[in-house]
Order: sequence, then structure tokens, then C-alpha cells
Amino acid sequence: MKDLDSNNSDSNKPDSNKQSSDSAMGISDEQLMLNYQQGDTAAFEQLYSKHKGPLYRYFVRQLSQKSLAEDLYQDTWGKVINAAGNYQVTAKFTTWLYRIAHNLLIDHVRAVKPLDEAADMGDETMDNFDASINNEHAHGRPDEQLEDEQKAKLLKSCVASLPAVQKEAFLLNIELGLTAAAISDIADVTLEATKSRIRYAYQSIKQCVAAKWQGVTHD
Amino acid sequence: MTDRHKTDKDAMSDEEFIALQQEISALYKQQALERPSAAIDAAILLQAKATQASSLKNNVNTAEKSNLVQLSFWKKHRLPISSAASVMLIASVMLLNPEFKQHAVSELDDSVPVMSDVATPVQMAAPVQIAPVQTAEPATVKAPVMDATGVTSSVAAYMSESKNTPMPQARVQGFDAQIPQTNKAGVRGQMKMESAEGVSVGEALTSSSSTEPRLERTDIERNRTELDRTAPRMHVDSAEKAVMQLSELVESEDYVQAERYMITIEQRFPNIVNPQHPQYDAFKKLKQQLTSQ
Repeated sequence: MKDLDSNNSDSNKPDSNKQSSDSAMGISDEQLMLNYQQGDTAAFEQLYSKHKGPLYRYFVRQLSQKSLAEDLYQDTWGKVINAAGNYQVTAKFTTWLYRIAHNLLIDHVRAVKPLDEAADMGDETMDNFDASINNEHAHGRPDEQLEDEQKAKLLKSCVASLPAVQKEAFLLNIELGLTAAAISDIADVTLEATKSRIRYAYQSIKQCVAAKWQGVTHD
Repeated sequence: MTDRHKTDKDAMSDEEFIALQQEISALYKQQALERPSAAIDAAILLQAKATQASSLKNNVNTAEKSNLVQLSFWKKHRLPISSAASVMLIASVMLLNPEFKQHAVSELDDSVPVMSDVATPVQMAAPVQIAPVQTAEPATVKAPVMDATGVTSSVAAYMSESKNTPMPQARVQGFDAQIPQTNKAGVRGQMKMESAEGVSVGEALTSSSSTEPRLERTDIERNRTELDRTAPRMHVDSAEKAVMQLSELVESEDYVQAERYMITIEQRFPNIVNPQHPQYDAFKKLKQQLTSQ
């Protein structure tokens, strides 16, 4: 587990890329937020362009309804904008941003419909994905690139089939490269539980992808 | 399946987990990454700009309000209000307090330069020795009212009353003796009339001359002049002496003065026309003598 944190930070390419870009520009996310607080809208645009993709996928891949995901995505940025006047650097901006997103997700979705039920919908998408894979395989394109693309689609369906808590931990880790400690702050769970969720998520995805790929090749 | 995961997890080392992460991460990045639409991006950025503009405006307004010091009406117009209040206070005191007004007028008179009265010290230095005032007579001073003949009506009234109570001769003579010789002839008639009225001239002067002695004295001199012009001065205070004076004027053939003196006697001693008056016959004889002339 000790290695998990260090490995996560070391092996996470998006996070390293982000840090390199920050250092290259010389402006951290917190400083961009402070600049926006002083009226620099360009700083907010820069901040938005940096975080819009991962945050959007954070919602889209946890929710079956895309419209609901987009609504929550806009609500998250709306809260960031409204809270900019009173923003103080007490934590990393990423942690603060995804804590807002996590709370919105809890309030609007989990309170009404547990996300575990979404796993069933993931199965449905899995069925559709399997059908598409079978169709493509039937058309006969057996190169490696096609195999990777097919595995990527299998991975997407496998991620969708994860339990909600594991899915959230997996997305935060693989999208943003957040450590188990940061994820535990966002999800408001213990560090050990977060580490376990991450490990289980990766292993489950591997097994899922392998199983689905084996089934595809058999067909 | 959970139990199987647990066994897999326990069996997986850190190196194997790192390899698993890299493998899954590579597959994850090969898939198409969803991104928000341009409409959502534009909406969020527009909201950010609008909110920032409104917050900046609010901050400016707040700063302006915090910099402004609200002055109350009284502080804003403190100078005109205090001046008006002072003027009102002084005006009220002067209008409601008559003593303050008198003092103000007297002080104002003192401050105005006037011509000195030192050049006419005689006016105040008229040495009129006053006999003791009769206690039975009223102390009030009545200004003598002059009629057409120059004799006061009060004198005539007194004369009508004094036929039964004649004026003591000694008092009149003593009064005359106290008047200086220079003014004796001119003042005597008036002094006698004043004494007949019951109030001496000196008392009248002293009672009213505290503030305007010059004016009072001027009035007396003017009245005396008028008496001189209209009728001969009455030097006697009895009908007998008056008739003797009239007879002397007739004998001296000064008929004009005698006629005037006769009229004066008639006005001063109206009972002399009464046949029962002791001087009636003598006065009638002189009157006929004068009218025949």
C-alpha cells in the first residue's frame, strides 16, 4: 500500500503532464483561481480548459444519463464561479473541485437512485458492446490496432460495470492521477478503504477485459 | 467474486499492481475521451465573465460606500444653523426683556457723541430756593394749562376756592424773599401761581428734571414769556392790592396796561364782580373809568 501512493504519483501520466504544464506556465491552479478572483477571466478560461475533460468524464462515466451528467457538470462549474469571491487556498484546487463534484453526485443521484443499480445498465451496454465487437470481428479486421481499440471498448464497458465507489476511485486515479490520500479526501473515506477500492477496481477491470476478450475470440 | 478478488489482491505484489496500472492506463487512453460540447463551454465561460463583472461592480460600490462618510443634516449645515440660532436668541432676549432694551438704548446714547452742555451751565444752576412743601397739598405735579389770557385755569379754580381760605401772606413774602433779585420780577408771578396750585416750582423742577432738566426749564421760561406778552404780571396775591395796583396804573394814565391788568384781576379774582366783594365798588369804579377812556 505504501508503494501504491508513490507508484500512483509516479506512474500517472496525466498528473505528471499537468504538473509539467503548470511548471512550464509557472502558474498553479490555485494561483489561476486567485487571479480569477481578482477579475482575470482569462485565468478562469485557462483553468477551465485544463479541467473540463476529466471532470466531464467523471460525471459521464458514472451516470447513465448524459443530460444529467452535463447538468451536474455545469452545476459544478457554477459553484466554482460563485465561490470564487470567497476562495482561499486551503487545499489543492483539484481536491476542492472534485469534492464539489462528488457532493453534487451524492446529492442528485445517490440519494435518489444508488449508483450500484447503474451497474446493471453497464451490463446492458456491455451486451451492446459485445454485439458491436462481434459485428466488427465478423467483418474481418484482425490487426493489432484493431485489437487495442476493441480492448479499449471492452475496458470502457468494464469500467461501467464497476461498483460505484470503485468506479469513482478508479476514475479519479486514472484520469487525474490522484493519490489514494487525495481520493480519500474527496470521497470522505479512509485511506485504506480508498486503496482497496483502487486495487479492486484495477483487478476487476483486468479480469473483465480478459474475460470479454476471450469470449470475443472464441466467437 | 469478492473472495476471489481478495485472494488475487493478496497474491498480487506491488510490482504486479504497477504493471497492471500501466496496462489498464494504456488501454484507457486508447479509447475515445468524451469532452463537453462547445455550447456547454461557452455557457460556463459566459457565466464566469458575467459573475465576475457583477462582483467587481459590487466591490466598487462597496468600496465607494465604505469611503463615503455620511454627514447628518445638522453637521452639514452647522454654520448657518448656529448663526440663525444665535440671532434668534439675541432677538428674543431684546424683545422679551424691556430692561435689556433700555440698557441697550442708554448705552447707545452714551456712545453717541453729543454737544457738550458745559457751555450752558446756567441752565442747571438756576438757584431756586424752594419753600417747604405743604403736606396737605397733593404731591403730584400738574402741568399748568394756559388759556387764551395766559392765566392757567388751575389758578382760576384755586382762586375761586381760596376766597374762604386766603393764602398766608407771610408764606408768599418768604417765598419771594428767597428768590434772587435778578429773577424775582420775572419769576414771581409764576411762582405765586405755582404756589397757589400747591406745588412749588422747585418741587416740580426736581420731580421732573432728573432726566430732562433743560427741557423743563425751557418750558417754564416760555410760559413766563407768554404771560409777559398777554397780561401784566400779577405782583399781588390779594384783591385789595390788585385793585390798588390797578388804580395806580389808571392814575398814571397807562390805560393799556391798566386794561390788561383789569382783565387779569377779573380772571384771577372772579368774585370781584360780585357786589358783595369788599373791592367790588373800587374795581367797578376803575373799570368804568377805563371803559370811558
